[in-house]
Amino acid sequence: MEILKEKDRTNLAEIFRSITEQVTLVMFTQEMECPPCHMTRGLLEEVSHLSDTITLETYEFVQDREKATALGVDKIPATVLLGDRDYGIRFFGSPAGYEFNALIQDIIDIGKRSPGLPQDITDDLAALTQPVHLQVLVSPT
Amino acid sequence: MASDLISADMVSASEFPFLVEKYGVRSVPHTVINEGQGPLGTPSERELVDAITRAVV
Repeated sequence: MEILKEKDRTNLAEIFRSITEQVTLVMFTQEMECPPCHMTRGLLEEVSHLSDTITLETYEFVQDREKATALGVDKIPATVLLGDRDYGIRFFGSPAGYEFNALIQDIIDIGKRSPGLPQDITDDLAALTQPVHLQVLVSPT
Repeated sequence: MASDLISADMVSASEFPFLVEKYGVRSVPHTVINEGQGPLGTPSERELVDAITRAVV
């Protein structure tokens, strides 16, 4: 099943050439795959094939419970984006529609090891002293 | 990425309706900061950072 169009794959492969560091996509699904899980896995497999710097690891939510818990995954489908460490970036649900752009941008930011934020923003965030859990509820249109 | 204290989830509302109910989501995008309501719509970087700073005070 091909999800991305040929043109999009070509464009993405070109965009990913700017990535210099390893990016790991860690996906949690289940053996009897729900449609969003199936869709997400297909999409991530295609994305990971577009660059040697992007690796996909797939785990089962139930069988690999410890791994899921360690990565803060409590619902599936879930995609955790890792660079040289865990930056706390997760996608719950299939990253389709507009969220696909966010996924690609995150892969690029992690691959460059830089979120590309203005200095004043970075300074304010560095001054935080308590944990912050952000959740952005979106719709896949 | 700018802070080790921050974790950020994208959550598909249509796939997790229990969260739509839990957070009283009426429109998307809807941002939740530490279980409380954050900015609606798409905030600027400054608006989001200010909302985060207010939420943890």
